Formats: sequence, C-alpha cells, structure tokens
Amino acid sequence: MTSTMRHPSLLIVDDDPAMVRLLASFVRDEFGEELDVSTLTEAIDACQQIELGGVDILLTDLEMPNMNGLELLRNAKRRNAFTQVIFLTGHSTQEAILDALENGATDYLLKPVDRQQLIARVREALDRVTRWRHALGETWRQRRKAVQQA
Amino acid sequence: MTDTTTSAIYSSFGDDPVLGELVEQYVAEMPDRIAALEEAFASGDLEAVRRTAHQMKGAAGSYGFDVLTDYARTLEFAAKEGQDLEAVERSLRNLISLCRCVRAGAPSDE
Repeated sequence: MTSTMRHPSLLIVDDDPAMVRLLASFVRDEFGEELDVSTLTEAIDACQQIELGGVDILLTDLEMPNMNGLELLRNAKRRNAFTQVIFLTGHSTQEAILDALENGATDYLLKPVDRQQLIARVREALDRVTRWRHALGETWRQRRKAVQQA
Repeated sequence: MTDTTTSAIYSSFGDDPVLGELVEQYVAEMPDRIAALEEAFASGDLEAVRRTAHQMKGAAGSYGFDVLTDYARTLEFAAKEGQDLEAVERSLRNLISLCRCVRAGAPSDE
C-alpha cells in the first residue's frame, strides 16, 4: 500500500515582506520537501487560508495591523486543535508571552530571529505533528479493522 | 548610543552563498524604507513611523545588521510616546544615517 499522505504544511505570516522572505528561506533550505511552506503578509488572508484548509504549523508574528497574531492563533487552534503555533515577537514581555501560551501557542521566538533557534523550534513542531498524525492514523486503522471484522 | 557611524555596515552573513542574495534584496529596498520613514514623519504620521521602526527592529538584526536594532527600537519607542517630536526626529535621523551605510556582500568584495 503506498502512502498518499500530504506533506505537513507550514504557514508563515508576518506583515514585513522582508521578514517573510528570510523565514521562508531558512525553513525551505533546512526542510526541503519535508514541509509544504506558504507565506502571507496579511493576517486576514492567513485567517481565510486557515479556515479553508487548516495548517499543521503556523509561524506568525504577534504584532500585526488589522488582526494580531493572537487572534490568528485562536482561529488556527479552533479550526484544528493539532495545529502547532510558533509566534514571533520583538517584545519579551511576560504578559505577551503568557497570553499567547495560554491561548495554545506551542512556542515562541524573539526577533531578531536566530536561524538555528528557528530551525530547532520548527523541527520540534514538525516532530509533534508527525506523532499526532501517526497516532490518528493508527486509531483510524484500528477502527476500520474492527468494522471489517464485525 | 549617540553618534551614528558613516562607514559601511555589512551583514554578518552577507557572504553566505544562499542568504547573500536575500541580504542584497534587503539592502536594495533600504531607500524605500528610508523614504517611508521620512514621509511618515513629514506628514506627522507617528504611527506609521513607529510601525516601520518596529519592522526594522525585527528584520534588520535577523538579516545580520545587528547594529540597526537598537536604533530602530529607540525610534519605535519615541514614536509610540509621541510627545517629544525632537526626540523622534533625532532618533529618526540616527537610524536613517545608519540605514544609508548598509551594504550587500562582505567587506572583501569591494
């Protein structure tokens, strides 16, 4: 049986196009085809993309005009509880970080972004996505087997 | 953090074979960022000044131009406070002076 499972998706959202380019380059260079990477500079567009198809890993700036990263985070988790959310922030205030973590963020990165830290956080998120997928797939196979045997 | 340098500023990964091109693009766009800052200040739009400074605070260091980060942070803070226009202008001029010094590539390229 060949696997048709799609590659996990990573959506990068930041209102600065230069930041988006850099982050995407870091991630694509490291993960290649392991991840299906897409980028957006408007949080509202990101929200629509998430609503339409969900996303496995969301890497988002926290402070953006029109819609902030926290709202995006809530929407992403509402759409898919398994979505791993890493937020980027230039502020290291305890309140901002705690607020995001309490709303389901997986991790955070401070700007300026360090390439190695970014890769490490995304790798951890990808590992979690892979484990969840495996667990869900296994549950589904067992359920199907039980139905077939009934 | 009072005087701003007038010598060329290079990214710490300007000679990286992969990232060098991105740095080149970031540097090429710098005149647009400077213009955006100047226009926003001239029109009294301190929120736009703050927003651009905020972006530069996050991106410049990520692109290896670490020296810009503190100056962008100072401008972001001054524009957010918004009460001392002289402080905003001083921070703006300092940041712009540095922005004009950024270069693509590495020092040995010249």
